[in-house]
Amino acid sequence: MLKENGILFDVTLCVGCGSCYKKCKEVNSLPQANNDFLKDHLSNNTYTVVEQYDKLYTRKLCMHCNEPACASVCLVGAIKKSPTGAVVYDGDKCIGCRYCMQACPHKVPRYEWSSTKPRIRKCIMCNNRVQEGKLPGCAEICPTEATLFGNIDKLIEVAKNRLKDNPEKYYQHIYGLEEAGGSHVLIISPVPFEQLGYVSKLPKESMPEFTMRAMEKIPSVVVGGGVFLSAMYWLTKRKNQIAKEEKNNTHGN
Amino acid sequence: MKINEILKPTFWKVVSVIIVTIGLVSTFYRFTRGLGATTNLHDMAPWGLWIGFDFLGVGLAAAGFTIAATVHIFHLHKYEPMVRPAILTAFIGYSIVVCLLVVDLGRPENFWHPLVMWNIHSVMFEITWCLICYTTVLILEFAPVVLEKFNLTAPIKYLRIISIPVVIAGVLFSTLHQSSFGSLYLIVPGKLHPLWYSSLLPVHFYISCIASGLSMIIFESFLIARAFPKDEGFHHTELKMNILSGASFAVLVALIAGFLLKSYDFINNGKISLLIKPSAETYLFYLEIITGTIVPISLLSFKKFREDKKWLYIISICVISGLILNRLNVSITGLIASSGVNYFPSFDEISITAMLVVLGVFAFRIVAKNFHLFEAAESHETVKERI
Amino acid sequence: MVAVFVLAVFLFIIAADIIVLKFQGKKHPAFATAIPQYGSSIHDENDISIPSDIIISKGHTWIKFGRDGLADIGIDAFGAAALGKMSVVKCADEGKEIKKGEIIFEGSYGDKTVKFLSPVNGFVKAVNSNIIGKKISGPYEMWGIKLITDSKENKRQFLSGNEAQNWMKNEFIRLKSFIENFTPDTGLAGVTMYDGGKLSDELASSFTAEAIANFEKEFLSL
Repeated sequence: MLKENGILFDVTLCVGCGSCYKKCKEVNSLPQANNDFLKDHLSNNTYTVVEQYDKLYTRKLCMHCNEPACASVCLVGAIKKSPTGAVVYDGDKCIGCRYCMQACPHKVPRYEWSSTKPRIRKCIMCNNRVQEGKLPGCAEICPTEATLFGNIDKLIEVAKNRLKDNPEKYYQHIYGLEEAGGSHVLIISPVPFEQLGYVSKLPKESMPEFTMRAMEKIPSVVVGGGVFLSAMYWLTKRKNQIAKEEKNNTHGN
Repeated sequence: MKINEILKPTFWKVVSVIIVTIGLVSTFYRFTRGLGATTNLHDMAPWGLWIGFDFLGVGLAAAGFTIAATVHIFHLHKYEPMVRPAILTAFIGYSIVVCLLVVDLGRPENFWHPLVMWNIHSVMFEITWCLICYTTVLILEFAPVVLEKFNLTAPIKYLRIISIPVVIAGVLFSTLHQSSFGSLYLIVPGKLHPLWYSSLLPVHFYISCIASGLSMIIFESFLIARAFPKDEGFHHTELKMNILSGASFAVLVALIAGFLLKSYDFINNGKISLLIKPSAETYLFYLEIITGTIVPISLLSFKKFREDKKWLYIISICVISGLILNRLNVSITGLIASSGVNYFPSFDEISITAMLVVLGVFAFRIVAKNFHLFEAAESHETVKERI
Repeated sequence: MVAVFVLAVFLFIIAADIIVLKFQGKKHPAFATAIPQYGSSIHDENDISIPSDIIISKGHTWIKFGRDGLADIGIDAFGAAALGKMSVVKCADEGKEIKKGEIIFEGSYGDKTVKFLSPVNGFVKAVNSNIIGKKISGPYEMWGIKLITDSKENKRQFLSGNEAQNWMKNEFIRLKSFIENFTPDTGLAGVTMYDGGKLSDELASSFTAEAIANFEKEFLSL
């Protein structure tokens, strides 16, 4: 638990300079897609994007859920929740079913559609850099500390304190604390989150819960079904036998 | 003479050859140029026509397990003549599904990964394994037909010994993966339109597959009677009305069960108000329910219609249409609204799908012509019971 | 949209197939007129369809009123196939007067003979000696007797067109339960019928004289 890291993004501090966008491209060696970073959107070569809503700027990136839907649905386990808190991806395992894209409640994973050996592309919270002891690119470069990287429990603390200390400045909700079972990216803002293009009204339970409720019935279906079918096999067979014997008896008479 | 017969062009032969040729070209493009160049799939609509068709194929192939269970487990031997066509249908249906899945996979060369890399929490993983196991079951169930043809009686004996456990396993695997196709969408409560999203999705899928699988077999009986007419020397291919009527009664029961479940779901979850909200989804939902459930239920309720082959044909088409609408509504319509984009399959997507369907029909034809598919093939058991 | 598209393609193919069959002059099995309860070869589609100029009597004979004032009379599809292939044994004598309800033909299914009754009053003008002793195929082309008859006779008691076809279907349905009741080995007959096998000519031979009499009463009386 202690080692788990996260990102806190504070909309009030963001000036929309786009450093995080550029740095992200640099550290992940992604090609430049759009000259105007504000017009870009998440894609197979853009892991994070800065968006403008009136005078506010906000970031979109993978939320690194506590119990990621994408990881739970991946049948080969190509997407995993790393102990560092990041949701990471192994392109060599991936078979390309794209269930993760379908399942993600935040609609984040992108696909290399134009490639013949396509991979899923999304923010992996610079997991390699973090393991080397560095900060993720976006957190390192951010000039206003709008993007903070650190221990997730501490970040929650920080966010709660900011909301408490400046109640007039912040909309009283931490996006990502409870959404879809909670995530390792937290966002605080002065306005409700649907105004910033975030998926609102997400359930508080983690998404894999919805599937587990059905999956956990499988063993009982198998056992119950097996017993029922065997019993029916035996019963109907016996019934036919008895019917035949009776018929034979009447014929005998 | 035989060659001449095969080469003699008929309307459907010409159409099939054209479809397959175009499909092969599209398949070539698909594998050489990638998904992006050949499909209209994109980040907001990652699943399209191919996945939708997988849903259809699996749903319509459901008769494989229901008929096998009816005959071998519930000992209703009246339905024996349906077993072999049903199992063959299921096998071909699943083959189409597997081919489409491989075409749809971004990395088709990695298709074997699920065999060695496991994630037991994934519904997709469960489905994959059930598909593999059930296809094996289907091969075992159909093997006697092939072995019989080549007079290999020794293995048939062994197959007969394990036949009941195999049938039971088949029913269980089918139950699991048929319902799991519904479970796939349990994880997207926010994305799938509430008209279709329900925590009971797996049960909906299971019940509807029973009704439509049986309808498919009824529909197919007509296709068989049409494709292999008696005056061309085929035997046992004609319609057997008492069997079809019996099966149609089972369709009625399954449809009513499905309808009750759907009503319960709507009332219980307060979704009634959605029914009067005018939107494209609502209209498609009505179309689905009316053609696939209400019309067939009201027609099948009358014995007169159940015993009239013309009406049975029309009803089976209705139920199949309902399933087509339902599965595609869940997998495409219901998700498009929340994605904020539009999706319509590209030419290559359509042509590859059409090609696989044509090849499936072709495979059925070949097997039907060369193996004893329609013989009143009585298992030893039936004969024993009669004696 | 995709759902509607796929559905439209599915329905289009079904419709196209029916049109293709129409061009080939065949009928789709779902819409071909045959007796639904039977898949049997004795009830081919041509057996049940009735030419429009022919009217059917409830005693399973057919009548065609010609322009020359003569009426052709023959045995209908049901009579020709009910208990196996039938062959005509005897016709009413040429040059004699015959009254409605008198015996006009005798036919045999295997070793059992049944009597058909004349549907009208008339004078036997000609007898088709070609049909005697032959099995009937194409029942409506094989006339048995030409009668001079009063064509003003009440035609309402006869059936034609759709009405006749439906009635004929019903007769086959009735026949099914009749056979089930009167075959000694019920299982055997039932199986042959259900499985679409041919009704063997031996079927009639397994009938008792009483059953044949019943058959005449049930199906051949006017």
